[in-house]
Order: sequence, then C-alpha cells, then structure tokens
Amino acid sequence: MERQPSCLLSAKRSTRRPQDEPTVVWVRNKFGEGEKQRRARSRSGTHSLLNVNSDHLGPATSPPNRWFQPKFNILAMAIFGLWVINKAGGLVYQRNFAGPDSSLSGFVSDFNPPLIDGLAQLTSNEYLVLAGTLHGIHAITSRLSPMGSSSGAQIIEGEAFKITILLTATGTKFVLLTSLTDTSSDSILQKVYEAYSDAVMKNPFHTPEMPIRSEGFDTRITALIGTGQTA
Amino acid sequence: MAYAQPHPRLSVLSNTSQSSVDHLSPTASSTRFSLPSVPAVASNKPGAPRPNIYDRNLNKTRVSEVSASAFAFLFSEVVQYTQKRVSGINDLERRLNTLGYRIGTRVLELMVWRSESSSKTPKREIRFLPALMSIHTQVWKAVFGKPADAIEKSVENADEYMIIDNDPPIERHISVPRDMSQLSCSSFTAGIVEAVMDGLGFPARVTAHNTPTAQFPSRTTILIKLEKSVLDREEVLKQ
Repeated sequence: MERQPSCLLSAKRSTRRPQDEPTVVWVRNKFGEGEKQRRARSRSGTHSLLNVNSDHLGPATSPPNRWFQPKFNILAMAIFGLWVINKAGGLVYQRNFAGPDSSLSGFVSDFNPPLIDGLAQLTSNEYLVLAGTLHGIHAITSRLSPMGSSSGAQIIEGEAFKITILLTATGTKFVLLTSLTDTSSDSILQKVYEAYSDAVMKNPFHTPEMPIRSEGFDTRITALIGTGQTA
Repeated sequence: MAYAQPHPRLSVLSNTSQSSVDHLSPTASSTRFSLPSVPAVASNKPGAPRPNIYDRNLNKTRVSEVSASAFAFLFSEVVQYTQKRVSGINDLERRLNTLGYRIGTRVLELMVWRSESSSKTPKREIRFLPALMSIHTQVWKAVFGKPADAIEKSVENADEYMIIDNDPPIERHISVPRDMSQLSCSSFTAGIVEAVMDGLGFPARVTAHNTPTAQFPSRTTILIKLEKSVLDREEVLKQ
C-alpha cells in the first residue's frame, strides 16, 4: 500500500480555489452510516441510491449518470471500515479507518472541511443492527438469482461509498466499506481472510462465532490497512 | 460408556480423562461436532493392510516437513483441551509441560539413534554446557527447524540458565488474553527441554516465561533450574 506523502496532498488542497467548491450538504444516508457527503444539490434527485451487483447480475458496469465524481486524490482511495459477520449474522469484529482521528485530519482546517471524514461513530448496538441487516440483505440477494444458486451480493454501491462482501465457505462474511473508486477491496478482503484464519482460528483462546478479541488479528489488520488511505 | 482404561503409566492424563469420560465422548457434546457427518472416504482398499508407523524407517522422515498450519490447529486444540481440565494458569502450564515432556523423551531417543547411525563418532554429552548447546541447536532444529536465538546464564543464581527464542513457532498464532498474561504456552517447549535434560542425566526444573521486547513481542525465555547434584558433579568433573 503506497501512501501519498502528506506534503503532496496538502499542496493539492491549497491549489483549490473556493469557487470550485460544489455545494456541500452534510447528510446521513439511509443506512445510517452518517457519512458526510458532498452533493450537488441540483441533481441529487435523479440518482438511484443503490446499485446491487450479485454474481449473476453481471459485473459492476459504470453506474448510470453518476453525479458524484471524486475530484481529489485524497478521495480516490479510502477504506472506511471493516466488519466480520459470523454465520449467524452477528457482528464479531468491527473497526473504522480513515476517520477524523486518522493522520488525514492533520491538515484539514475549519475553512476546508474534511473530504473524507470516515464514518460517523455509532454505538456498538447500532453496528450490530447494521450487520444483522446486511446479513439479511445478503440472504435475500442470494435467492434473487435467476440462474439457480448464487453466493449473494458481492458489491453494494451507494452514493459515495462501496460495500464489498467476501463470503467464505463456512458462512463467515468479511465486509469492507470503501470509497467508490477503491480497487483494492477484493485483494484486501482476501488478505483479511488470511489474517483471520491465522490469528483468530489458530488461537486457542478464541471461541468460534464469538467476538474477536485477538491482539494478533488487530496487529495484522493494522499492518494491512493502517489508516485506510490506499494508493 | 465404558472405555478400556490404559495402564496409568501410559498416559499421564488418564486420571482426568476417566473423571470426564462423558465430556470426551463425541456423542455427548453436539455443539463442537456440528458439521454434517461426511461419509468415510474409502482411502484404504479393503484387505490391504495399512502400513504400520512403527515399521517406517526413522531416517526417512528426517528431512520431511510438517505443515505449520496443521500443527498450529493441533496445538490450539491441545491448549483448549488442557484449559478445560485445569483450575488456574499454573496448573495449565504444568500440564503443557507434562505433555511436552512426553515428546522430549522421544525426541532425545530419536536424536541419539540418528546420530549413532549417521555419525562415525557419535557422542554423548556429559558436561552441562555442551549439552545445553546441543539443546539450543540440535534439539531446536529437530523440533522447530531452526536453532534458538540465545543462551544466557543467570547472574544471581549459579544454577539457572536460559534458552531464548525470539519468535517461538508454536506461539506464532496465539494471542493470550490480557487476564492470563502470565501464561506462556511455551511451557510445552519447557517440557521438551526438561525431558531432554533428564534423559541426558541433568535433572532440572524447566519453566517458560514471556519476556517481550519491542522488536519481538512473543520473545520467550526457557528457564532451566538445575538440581544441586548436577552442579556438584560439574565441580568434580572440572578437576
């Protein structure tokens, strides 16, 4: 994972003139992630909120008429969060990246609101509900396929973020919340799965299907994703 | 459920396994065995006798390697199995030590047998320091595939020596929870060392301790506390 040197990023920001700024509206989207999105007011009504790609519904083609185009490098690649959902739909691991407390916010001033504020902090109960909902959506999508059995939704796209889901053979789901343009989700999820089987499943102090409290797993994830800024 | 009880000497754990026979039975606990039963694959042709492990050439497996993942899963189960049957960290460490001891006796026997068959001048270590060196390199290489990282001698106690491993392979995937932070699963390794020391005629008490550093978070020290008789004999041999 190559990271942009911060000086380069801040230089990019400083060349931005105020009149280039699109109208900014801070919204909570309907999944409640509370993602602060910049949105062009005028065209916001014409956009469909979700593009669901199931494996039989074809690959992700470019979404029609996307009004949201990331303008800046910072926005291009970011990983917002990682969830691990057990086979019963319970959230056993949840972690946020690229949040306000990551290194990114260091050069964000009051005049330039952060482009990526990560995901809003929710209570653990809200996360559990979200994970259970996603589990349900996934179960539904796996039965939607017109061509027989399906492994269910793999990518769910929103206005400014993307949910990539990796379903393992044992029913555990790894969920990565990223920016729309992130291309590394699949390989990262694969590596997360690897870290999970090493640091969690081989740990005698872990109980299967229970919340993951393994220091080794945390370390591996930190090494893998860090502050969530890729590219 | 009646189990044929082995001779007590054959299994150090036989006493406890008798008391919890119902727990050991796969039929009694359904949750652990929730996977659908797979019909047994007929790998052996009927009639053809299975090759006996005892008939295999002992040198044949010298350079063959064991899957680290498979071992990690096995050792994880060993720790879980042991943890269910103990009350407290000391007890757990003592039992892991006992299990390691049973491996150590076999490791020593195998290494002696191999050195006798391969070397023209097989040697038995009778002095302590060369013996310790051979544990540090030969035993570690035979068991873990790499030598240990250091040997140290205690400054305070003349009868204490330490073997240090910066990254013990058996602990590579283990994260000990905070409330058990004193636990070192390398007690298993300590048991192996204790058995080899005993077998070589240096009775000692061997324990394992976590000594993490910033660079090596799972650094482990195997502490060897020699019996007085060993030190006395070393004194005599010096002259």
